[in-house]
Amino acid sequence: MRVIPAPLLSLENVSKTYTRGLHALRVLRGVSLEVHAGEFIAIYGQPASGKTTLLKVAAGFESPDGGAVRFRGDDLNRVSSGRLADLHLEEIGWVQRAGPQSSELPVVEHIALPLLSSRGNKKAHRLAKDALARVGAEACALETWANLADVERMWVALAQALVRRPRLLLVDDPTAGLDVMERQRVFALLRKVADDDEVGVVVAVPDLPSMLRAHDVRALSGGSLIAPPAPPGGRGKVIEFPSGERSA
Amino acid sequence: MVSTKHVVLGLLLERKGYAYELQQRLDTRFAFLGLSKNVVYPLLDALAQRDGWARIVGYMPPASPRSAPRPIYAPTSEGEDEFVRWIGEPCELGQAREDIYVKLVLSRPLDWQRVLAMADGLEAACLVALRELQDSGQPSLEELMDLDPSDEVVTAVLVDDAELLRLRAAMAWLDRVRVYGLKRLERLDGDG
Repeated sequence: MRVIPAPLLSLENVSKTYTRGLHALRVLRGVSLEVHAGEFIAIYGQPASGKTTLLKVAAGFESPDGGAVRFRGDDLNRVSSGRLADLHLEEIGWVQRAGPQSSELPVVEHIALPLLSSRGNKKAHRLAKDALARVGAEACALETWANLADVERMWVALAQALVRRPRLLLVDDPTAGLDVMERQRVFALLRKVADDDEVGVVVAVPDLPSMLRAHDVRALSGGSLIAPPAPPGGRGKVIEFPSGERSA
Repeated sequence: MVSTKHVVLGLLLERKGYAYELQQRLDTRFAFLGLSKNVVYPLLDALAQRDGWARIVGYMPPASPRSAPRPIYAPTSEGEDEFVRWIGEPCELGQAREDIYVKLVLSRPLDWQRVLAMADGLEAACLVALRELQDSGQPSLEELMDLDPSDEVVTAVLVDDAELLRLRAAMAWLDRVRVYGLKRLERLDGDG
């Protein structure tokens, strides 16, 4: 008998509207999505289609106007702010290319920062270096954010999210400013993170070719999230067998 | 529509062959054309007897004692010239007659709810096609740059790449349809 595990993240009929003066902009219209551990979902959308809003709502950074966002069963709109902060620190990784507050801070310090209180200085730095090595950016360790190229900033942002060993990784357009080969490398790494670490990965992207690395795809258009019909027998990664084996 | 006769002629130029074997090569290499089974038999007849672009150059032993020997075909020099001419001919830009375009033209007055539902359906079909490309396991064109692939792999990847970019264009257009349609519906709601 197949057992379908509970989703890591679920968006249930989520809607979100921004009001600008007299105008209301409906960005999300009844969006539903489930992400399981080890599943890599790429969401395609045109510029200004609401991809960033969708990810922010999924991360709990913004509240939906309607519907619910659950992370491991908890409604992110109802958990305490302390609990939400803990989730952002430990379980929900958010990848963005915003640098540290201080432009003088070496990259490795920036990455170690969230671990200092829980792991101590020495271990936090070792983990930060490991994270940089994992993304192939160890050469950036002592550089400052201001000196990094676009692609290096992407790797550092990924390392900063991965160092916390999150269960869920939300990545907003990792392709901007990267050439096609670098995009391939980023998506290959995200696929590996999902496959090897059982992390649920959601990437919003305006670039269709990059999405081929994902386990599954969606399209965000006009505020609706379009899903392809489920193939017979499912897509494998979301189905777990009692023995612990996973279908390919 | 692609000229299947020229596809078979091209296969013969790669190497001569008999009908059953050519049909297998056709099925393997050009499955995406969705050709009917046994299409190669009338095409070989046409190439050899009507056009003079192929000829019988020998026979394979019959598959069983009661069946006839199997003719082996090869291209003629006229066939080689014709293939070169066909390769140089401008390609048709396909896909301009998809269902949704025809339905749009026939939808007067436009029912935007229905158009949006059609857009949803077509976008879902695009995602299914994208999934199939994922499942094909082909490397991407970018990945090929680091490899030394065979011509066969390169052509397969180029065809997938074309399909990928066609899907991207279709999805960009569907997004425009949806954004415009939603605005029209909101305006109609406001007027109502």
